[in-house]
Amino acid sequence: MGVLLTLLIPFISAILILLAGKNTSQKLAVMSTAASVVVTGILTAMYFKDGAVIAGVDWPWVSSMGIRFHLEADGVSLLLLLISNVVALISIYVSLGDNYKNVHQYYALILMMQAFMNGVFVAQDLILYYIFWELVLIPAYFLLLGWGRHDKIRSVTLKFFLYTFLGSLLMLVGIIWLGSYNGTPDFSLNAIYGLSLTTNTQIAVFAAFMIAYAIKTPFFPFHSWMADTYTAAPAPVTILFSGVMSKMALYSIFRFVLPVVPDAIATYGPFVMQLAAFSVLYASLMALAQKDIKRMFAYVSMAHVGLIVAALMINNIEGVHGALMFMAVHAIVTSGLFFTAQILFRMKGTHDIYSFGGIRQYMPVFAGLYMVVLFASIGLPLTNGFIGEFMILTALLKANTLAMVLASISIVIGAVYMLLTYRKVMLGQDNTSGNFSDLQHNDKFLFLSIAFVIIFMGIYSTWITQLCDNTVLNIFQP
Amino acid sequence: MASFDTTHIISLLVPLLPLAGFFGYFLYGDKLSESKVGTLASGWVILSFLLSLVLFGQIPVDGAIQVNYFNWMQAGSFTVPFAFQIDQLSVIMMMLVTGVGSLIHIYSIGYMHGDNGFSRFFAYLNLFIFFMLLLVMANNYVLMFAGWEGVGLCSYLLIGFWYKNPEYSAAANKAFIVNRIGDLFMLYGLYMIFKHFGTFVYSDINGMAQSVFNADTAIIGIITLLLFAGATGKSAQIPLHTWLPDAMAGPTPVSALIHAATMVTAGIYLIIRSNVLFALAPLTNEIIVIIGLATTLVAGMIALKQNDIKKVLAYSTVSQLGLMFFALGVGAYAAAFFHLLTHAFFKALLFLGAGSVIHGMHGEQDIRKMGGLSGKMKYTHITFLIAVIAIIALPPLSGFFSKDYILASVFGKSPVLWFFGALSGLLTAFYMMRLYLLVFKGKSRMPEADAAKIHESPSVMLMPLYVLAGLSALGGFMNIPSIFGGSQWLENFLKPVVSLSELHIDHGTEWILMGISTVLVLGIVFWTYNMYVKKNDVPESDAVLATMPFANFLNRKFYFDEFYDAVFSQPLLKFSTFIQKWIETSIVDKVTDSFGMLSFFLSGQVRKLQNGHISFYLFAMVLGILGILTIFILL
Repeated sequence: MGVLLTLLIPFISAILILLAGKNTSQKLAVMSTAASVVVTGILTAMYFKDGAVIAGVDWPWVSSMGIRFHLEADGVSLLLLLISNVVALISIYVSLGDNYKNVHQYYALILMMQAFMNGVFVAQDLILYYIFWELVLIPAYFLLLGWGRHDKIRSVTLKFFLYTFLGSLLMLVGIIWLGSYNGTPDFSLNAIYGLSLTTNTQIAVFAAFMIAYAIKTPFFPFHSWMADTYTAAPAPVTILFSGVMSKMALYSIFRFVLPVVPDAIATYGPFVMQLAAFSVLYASLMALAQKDIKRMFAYVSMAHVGLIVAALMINNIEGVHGALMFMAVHAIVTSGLFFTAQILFRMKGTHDIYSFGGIRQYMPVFAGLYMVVLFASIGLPLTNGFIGEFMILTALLKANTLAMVLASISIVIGAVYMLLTYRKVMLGQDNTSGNFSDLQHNDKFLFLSIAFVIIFMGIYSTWITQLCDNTVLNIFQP
Repeated sequence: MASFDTTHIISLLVPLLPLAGFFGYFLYGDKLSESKVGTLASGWVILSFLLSLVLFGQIPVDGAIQVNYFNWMQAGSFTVPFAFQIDQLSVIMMMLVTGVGSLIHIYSIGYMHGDNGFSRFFAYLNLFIFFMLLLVMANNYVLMFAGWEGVGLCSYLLIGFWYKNPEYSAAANKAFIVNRIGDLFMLYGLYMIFKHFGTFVYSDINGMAQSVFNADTAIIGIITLLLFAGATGKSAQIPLHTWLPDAMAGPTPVSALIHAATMVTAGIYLIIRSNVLFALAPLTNEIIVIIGLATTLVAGMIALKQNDIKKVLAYSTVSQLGLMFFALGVGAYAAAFFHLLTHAFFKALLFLGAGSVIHGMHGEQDIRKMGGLSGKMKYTHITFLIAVIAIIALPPLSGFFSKDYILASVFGKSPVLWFFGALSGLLTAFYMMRLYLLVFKGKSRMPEADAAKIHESPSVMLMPLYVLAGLSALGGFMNIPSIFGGSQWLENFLKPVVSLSELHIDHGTEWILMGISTVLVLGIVFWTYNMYVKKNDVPESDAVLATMPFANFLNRKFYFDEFYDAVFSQPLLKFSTFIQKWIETSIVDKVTDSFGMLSFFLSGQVRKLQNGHISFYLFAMVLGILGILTIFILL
């Protein structure tokens, strides 16, 4: 039942917020997301205590098609639920600092999105999974269209929607293929895991799934919706997109690709691995070229998720653990980065790096916290950024030297763009005017919490590996 | 978790106390007075020094203290413990870091007096001590690397300490980024280590080194080269040395602590720590000899023509570090380590003395505008002189013993190498005497009004100078060579860590070599005295310098910075803009969008067909994949 709660809490809260109107929506949204985090925390504690999968619900749904409403959470699902709900809480907290039009609709849509994303992470039936996957797009679409900030917000939204939607259709084809492979349709995860597929089938399914995931993640060359979307969306929504929505694809690779099509990965995995590794380099170079700090962070995020895809394609215990670790890392760090961009935006109404300068002297707390996020992003040891990156690159060298080299050059390029930007924005003499009051109340609390998690995870990381270990071992040592 | 005995707790407290000081800043930094903040910050480090002494007493004669805390990272066969190894090598480094660190903390109370960022400065210094201790105490490469990058972070923070000055923050960026380049190679080395050893723990690796070497002789060569590439970054060796002179933008105590005595020696520590691996990599050792020698000579030559008191010392540091690598390359690990220690004493002293001069002269750093300070700053002068005698290696001060030890070891390898090593010593003698005489001797070259304002530094700054002067003078007695009837304590103490190489030469030859280099150094002392004191030569002004090709070439530091800027920095930035413009916008976006437009167009045409969309998109996607595949195959 607890698993169902992670869907119901945000979903019902969203409806309540819509009904209750504008005045209470902030309060309700905070309470709802906080409750989701607490529930997920309790589920995780239960999992650690008993070591057993957290059973959810398993109801027949469309019996003739073999589709069931089946939710369940193992260690990896719990990690993703934690990511999803913590990031949703962050997103709500960031939202508190701004005034949004139709505020109740805004918060309701965010909670909707959270509910559906949680669904993706616990669905045990592929059709159910697919439905959640596509449902996420609906609130995402309206959030971007209604609250996005771009000259051509309509075309940006359309591109985002069509591109990701079309990619997903391919996945649907793959799902139907898999579900009906044995004649009698059965879309349960266990049934899919039990299939013995021919190599050619595996390759076809691999292609169908991976294109959907490549677009959603995104990595080169399927990323052209990303920069505009991430930049145009309001910061809290960008945080959800990069923090959780991209994880849907990464999680799906882990859950639906690695165990299902091992032969295809053996053949084409290295190619995807190198492509994703190239994407890390490419995105890093793109980040270096940006003059808009939010757009730069969008490419930083793209570089990091590329690294995760490469790690998944290693398809062994160390690589997958590194990928899962880095999913958690990326969720926190990228939230911190986009929050930073938003704090800057509130000061001057722009993301243009060259409009800023000398902020540090007025905002020492912000300057320090921005620096923590910055160094986490470039993988300084004792921040969580190092843990994931180091695990992945160590595993990657063993698997594929070329991919490791491609993916690792960003260690230097990342330092370049991050430090150049920090210097331009924060250091030097003040050459700007604007509202430079240092972080207060919610913002300060939120940013301190993010920094705390970054350092805590950087020192004590093994709990994440332990959380995922059984699930990972199930795949590699069935 | 292992059971916690007192050794566990003491070992953990050594780095944690300075870290507590760092976090304390956030609690009390702005509320307490300067003297309280300074005392607290110094107190943490002094306590840590005392605990290091306790550990020094506890080390078993023939082994190490291993303390395991928890697993830092763990996944499948991949394990990185959070664990310390306290052995003969690390305990000396711990005492050095916390000992010199304490002195420099105390000195800073005077030096940073009245600075707006007083407590922030001490927070960074405390954090630095923490990371430096992590670096030397770690029992594995990854935790060592955490300290390694952590000290780089502190270096970045402290170089750019006065962040309102854009030049300083640029120097800080440069330091971090250049170090990152080295660190990238070092990370490659770490990944390689895991690939071939399956562990990061020193003791396990040392045990397996021979068998890995037997399986594939090239592996260890590559790993050691990568580790050495990391060391060239942190220890400012060619080609990654350019950041260190710029790093002088930081407050002078920082230059003394980080950029002279401790952090920049991390590369030497790393190689001594990995001496089992390096012993199996003859090619790497030859490269180290070449790089070390090139660095010591090039930096020594550049130092001849620098006129900023701190820049001279910075290049001197680069040069001395080069000498240490030179020694490492020929396998004289104990000699290199000995010189690391004595250099830490006299170079810290030189920097602190320079800081005292700068402090007394209210910020002036150009030695052409100094002169005759010996009367006005008596105590600074005497201690500085001791350091100068030590660094130019005149007996019986510490530098003499350590440098002689290096040269004697090198001679055992090859007389040609000895010649170059001795040449580096002569360069040192020249630029140090030039610096000393121009600052403290000769006529005063500043306006009377300025001269009247010069004052000796307060005793809180002088006390550390006295202690360091004592160490610079007597530090050589750690390792009196057998030629003087000494017992070579340091070398014997290090035996459990460092496999000794046999590079001994007979006493007769050693006497002759020692005599030659000492006489030559004395000759240079008289030459420079004649030039800068008797004849009162003053280094040419920048305008004159520009007309002298070779001198200008030295003054402009061989144009390394300009070269790197033209060949790496600018092209990288241009390349990224190029990709943005010609790949991202013109190809990736356009192709994606045209698929979209095409699909709108076609879907209009085929709308009557059921399911038309999906099949077309399928088709388009497949086409896209094929296209991409083709591009990649062609590329």
